Parts: sequence; C-alpha cells; structure tokens
Amino acid sequence: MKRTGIPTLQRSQIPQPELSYVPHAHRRDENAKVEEFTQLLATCQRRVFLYALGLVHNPNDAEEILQQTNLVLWRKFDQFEQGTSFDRWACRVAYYEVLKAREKRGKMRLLSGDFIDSMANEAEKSLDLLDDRREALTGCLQKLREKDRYLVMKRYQDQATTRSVAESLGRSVQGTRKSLHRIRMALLSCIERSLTAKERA
Amino acid sequence: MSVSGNPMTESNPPDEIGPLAAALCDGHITSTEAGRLEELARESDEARRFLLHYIQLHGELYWDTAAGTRVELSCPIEQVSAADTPRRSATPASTRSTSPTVARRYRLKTTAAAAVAAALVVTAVFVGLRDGDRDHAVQPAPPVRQAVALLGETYQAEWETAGSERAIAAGAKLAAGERLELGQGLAKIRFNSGAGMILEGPAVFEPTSENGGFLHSGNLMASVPVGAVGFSVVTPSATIVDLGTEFGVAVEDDGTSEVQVFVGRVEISPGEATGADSAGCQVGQGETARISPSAVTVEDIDYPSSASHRFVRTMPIPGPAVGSVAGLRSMVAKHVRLIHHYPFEGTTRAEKCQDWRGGLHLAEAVMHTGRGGGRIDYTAEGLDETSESISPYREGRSGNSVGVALQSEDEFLPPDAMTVELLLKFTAVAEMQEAGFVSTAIATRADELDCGFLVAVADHGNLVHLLDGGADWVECGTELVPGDWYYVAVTFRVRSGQTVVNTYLARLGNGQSTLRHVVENQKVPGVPSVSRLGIGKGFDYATAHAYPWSGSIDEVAIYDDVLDVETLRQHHLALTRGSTSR
Repeated sequence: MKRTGIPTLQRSQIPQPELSYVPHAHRRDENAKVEEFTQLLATCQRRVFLYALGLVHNPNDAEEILQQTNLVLWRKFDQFEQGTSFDRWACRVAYYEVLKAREKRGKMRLLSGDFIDSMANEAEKSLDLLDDRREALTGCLQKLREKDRYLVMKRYQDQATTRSVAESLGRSVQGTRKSLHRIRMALLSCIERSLTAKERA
Repeated sequence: MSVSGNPMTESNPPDEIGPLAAALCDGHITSTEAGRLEELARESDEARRFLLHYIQLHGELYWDTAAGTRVELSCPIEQVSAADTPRRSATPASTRSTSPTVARRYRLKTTAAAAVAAALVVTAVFVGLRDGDRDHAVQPAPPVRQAVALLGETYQAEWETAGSERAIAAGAKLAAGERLELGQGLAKIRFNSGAGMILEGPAVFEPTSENGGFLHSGNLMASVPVGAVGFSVVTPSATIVDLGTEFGVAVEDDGTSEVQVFVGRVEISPGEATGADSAGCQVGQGETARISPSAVTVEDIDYPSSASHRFVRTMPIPGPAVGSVAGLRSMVAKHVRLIHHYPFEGTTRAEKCQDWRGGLHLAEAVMHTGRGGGRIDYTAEGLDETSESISPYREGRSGNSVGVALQSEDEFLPPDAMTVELLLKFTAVAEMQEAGFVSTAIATRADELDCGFLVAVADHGNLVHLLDGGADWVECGTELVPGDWYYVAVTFRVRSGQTVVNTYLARLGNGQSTLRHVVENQKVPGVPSVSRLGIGKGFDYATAHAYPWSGSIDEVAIYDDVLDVETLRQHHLALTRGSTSR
C-alpha cells in the first residue's frame, strides 16, 4: 500500500476549544498529556506491531494496523487507565483494528476468525516475553554463519522478497526459501535454548 | 550454529507446520495450505505457540535487521526510543531533491511518526502556535546507523554509485549491507574487528558484519590479524573463513571464485548454489583453490609464474612526488610484474620487514659467528626525506662472517625472467682492500656451486654478480663511491642453464644523474638459485649466513620479467630531479 507520509488528522477528530480562552493551567495539562502519550506510544510500537503481525502475518498489513491503532489510541487516550499496561491496552485496540481490516480485505481472511481469536490470546500471553526473546535473538543472530546472516539481511531489506533475493544472488527461489526457513528454525532453536539457560541461571 | 533441538515439543514435530509457517510469512501460501496450517496449529497449544513464535521472529527480523542498512534521514517530528527505532526507507534517487534547502521527502514504513505528528498537531491546537510555544515539540533521536567498517585510503578510485547522495570518500563509515561498486582503482576497508582488505576495481562488495562481507565480483586482498580470526568472505560460489591469514579472493563473471592464500590457512565451503559435492576444505599458504559451480579444486600456486589473479597487497602511494624515493616507490608499486617489494617503510621493525607485494616477509639473520655486538639500523637515512633505509651490521674486522642482516622467512623462487632493482649506498671498510672481501646486497644460494649473488660488491667496491660458485664474478667495471647512493637494476634471463645479465647503474644525489648500461647482455654460467632470499647478506659455500652488506639498502623490488631500458629510465626519472640524460 502506498505510504502517504504524515497523515493529517481530520480536525473534527480533535476537540478544539477557542485558543484565546485556554487558561494557562489547561495548556500545561495538555502539554503534559501529549508528552505522556508520545512517550507511551513510542515505547509500545514494536510490541503492537508484533502482536498485529501474529494476527495478520503480513508485515505491511501489520504496519497499517499499527497506524490505525495509533490514531485510535490518541483519540481514546482519555479512556486509558493510569497504572494499567498501555501496551496491553494498545494491543486490544489493535485487535479490533484487525477485525475491521479483515472485514474489508478478503486476503486477510486466509485463516478463520476464531483461529485469529486463539492466536490473539496466544499473542497477548507472549507480550511479557517479547523483550527476552528479542534479546536472545540478538545473540543468536551473531552466532549465525556469515552467509546466513547475509541472507537474512538481504531478505529483510526494504521491499525485498524471497524471490528478489534469489534473483539477486543467482539462486533458485525454492532453494532460497529452504535456506531462509532453515535459518529461521535455527534461530528459533537458539532462542529457546537461550531462554531456558536464562531461566536456569 | 547448527539446527539442533526442536522449538516445539516432541509430540508436535515442526516438519509439516514449519514450512507452512514459512510460506505464510513469505506470502506464497495457498488457501489449501493455509487450511492445513490452521488445522495443525489448532491441534495443540505448542503448535499454536510455535506458529506465533515463527511469525514473531519474522516480524522481529523485519523490524530490526535492516536498521543498519538505512540511510540516515532527518525527521523533524519523530520521537523514538532505543528499542523501538522506526524503520524508514530512502526514497529513490529520482525523487530526491538536490537542493539543500528543500526538506527531503521520505517514505515512512512505521507510523510512530504519524501518531506523534498527530500529537504535535494536537499540541499546536491546544498550546497555540501563534504564541510560538514550541517548548514541548518532540525532538527526534537520530536514527541509529551501525557502522561495521571504515573506508580507508583510496587510489585512483572511481565509484559507481549513481543516484546515491552518499559521499564515498576515505574516512566514510560503512554500514552492513552497504553496496560498494568500485569501477576502478583501489580502496582499503578496515572492519571493526581489525581485519583489513584492499578492494580492487572493477568490483562489487558489501560489508555484512564487523568481520566479513560479500564479494559479488572482482578482487580483494584480505589481511587478518590474530584478533580477527574468523573473518569471512562470501562469494556467489563459496564462503571463505580466515584462520589467521593473508589471502586474496577473485570472483569471475560466471561466479567462479578463486582463493589464493599467501599466509596461514583458510577454510572454504562451497556455496549452496554450486551444488558441489565437496564438503569444503582448508587451503594453506602457497595454495590456490578454485570453486566453480561444479567443483572445488585446490592446487599449489605456481608462483610467481602463475597465470592466476594477482592481488594488490599494499596501497600505492598516491600522487608520486617527482624526483624522490617516494616517486620511485609509487611507480614501482603500480607495475604489474612486481612480485616482491621491500620499501623498508613503517613504524615497527615488523612493518619494515614486510614484503608489500608478495608476502615473502623478512626476518633477521645473525651470522653464525655472531652479531659482533651490532644490530641492524632500521631507521637509517634514505636518499631523501621521503624514505628510510636499512643498514645491516657488518663487523669491521671479520665482516665476511660477523654481522646481522635480513633473510626471507620462506624460499624465494627466482623466475626465469627477472629484474632486481634497488637503491644502495656502500660504506667503505678497511677490509675492502683485502682479497676475498664480499659485501652482499641481494643473494640466494642453494649449495656450494648453485648460488645467486644477484647484487654484491667485492674487492675495492666493485659491483659484481655471481650465479655459479665455480665461475668468475661478473664485474660491472664500476667501483662504487663510498657514501654515495646508487640506483641499481639488474636483469636476468635464463637460457639453457645459463643466464643473460644486464646491469644498469646511476649515481645519485649529486645533481645530474645518468643511467648507465654497465653490463650488456653478458651470458654467464649458472642460474639464480632457489633458496631463502638474503637482503643485506649472502651465503657461504655451506649456505650459512655470510657476507653482510656494508652500508644501506632501500626500495628493493623484484619483478618476474626483464624490464626494458625505457621502463628503468622512467624509474630513474621518478627518482631524480628530472635532470638525467641518456
């Protein structure tokens, strides 16, 4: 989907008091609110993206979900309960954005609705482990053979596909798919071992 | 890292669900396969968890892996945290503005910026832009760009990076995945691990990590210190892992890779695309391996007459300073037939003993009768301020057998057509008046008769050569003036067990310098012998260290060809102030 840069909010989405009557105290509160929101938003992006990806399995679609979720989060920020998990709240919003997107786009309906629900439960349970898994992945990537790391890098470069990577390396598409799958399985095994070792430590 | 263990429990093998998960992530799953995937994932919590972890791994790699490949963009409205660095893409070159005053357009792949921009719009509405209250505008952290290597000096480098705004110049940091297309010339790259390489254009290379890269085409010469063992070069047909070496890699148009090892060993694994049955091999010093789509072969380098690729092992000094030793050095370094080059430059003794071209490095050699209390002067004055020379030690009284000089660590293989070129200064010693006095600049010796006194001085400072221990010295008819520098070039062409010798000589440092042809096509018995190469020393009848040079030596160059007189004149011209005559 074409990215259009910075989306402009509809003004009707934002309550607009007349500026000349905004008391200084209220202005300070709004500043604090914006600052708090942006801080919370920035730190949850990866988690919400991964949560959404677990449901839509396509990174471009997951980013769209993330974009819509961010806008909803701002609109409803007043409903966020202080002291609760902003990440989990954001993921719940993302879940509903996924449902809305599935209604509009048939290609998102490869997997059934109730299966998506079960994946959503699983994804929410995994939120607390995402940081540990990410840390383990960092270490596991360093253990990859040079050429495997190179293949991963090529595959996840901007707009790359398995097919484009295969063509650029002069390899078969099928062979490249197998290699990538082998590397992912190796990384998953390594991550599990790292997490197990960390638990025992 | 091996694939061991199973990310799922044993009751749910990933054999079927794994490839389906891969197909889902890579976007080529069919509806039938999707149905089967869902069926398998529903069977157990473990299966569902495996699928989720597989997808999340895909997401993590998507989110993070390309961070090091991104061009830095300035984004005035983004706020990022260390763990949630948004991903951005550079716009195609055609859409970029060339005006520095126009903000760059960029395509956002994440929407943290979008939401924060929304927040800033809100900020503007509530806070009042007309009041200029921007105190709470969010300042972005600059995107993180991980440099894995540094571009060092270049030599006549022309980069083919059309459309890129990124300046490719010495000192530039190189990120993983940054594609370097060197149209011509040389470029030195230093990796964060300490490994270094010289890329020779035309070549295409991508550093992929702090200790390796991908060579798509062209040549590179890698030099890997102990701390960077494991440095890897991947090519379309192979992966070469360094085990503590200097090695060259060349990738031909059809993807065939050739690896030449000059020092140490490398481990070579054929690429998956080759389909080669070989499981890989280790290749050692002096060996060459060729990896083609069908086979991996290892052969000894037939060095220096090998027709295989030659690798530039040191950077030429740019911008030759005409009329100086540096000017000569630069010209010599560019010669394609140069096989060994000893400029004796550097900051350490080891550096000064380096062979800049052929890997035939030098080590100290003490005469068997001892040092005599002396040592080599590695920082002796050169002909001019652009060079330092070495002065071997020769004892004053029994100098033929007491002293310290240099010798190659490995055997030198004299080619059948050879030129030896150097600068030398002879220092008078009392025993030079005595019979049997020999002072050697360059020599080899295999046994009593099979010898190669390539450049030596005998008797009263006469410049001489000897290739047969039972024959007479070849005399140049010139007594070197003690204390003066000379340019000397000697060519040797082997024919049927004999050698045709030509010697060229020019006295330097006195203004006018003339290159004289002092030995012309003289056929002499014997051929240059195969042995360690003595620099500043020769060998006695029993091949023991002997006959150290009295004086200084500099800029030793050996070629596997008989250089013509015009080339030698050019070298001489590069050295002098241009006031030579023929």
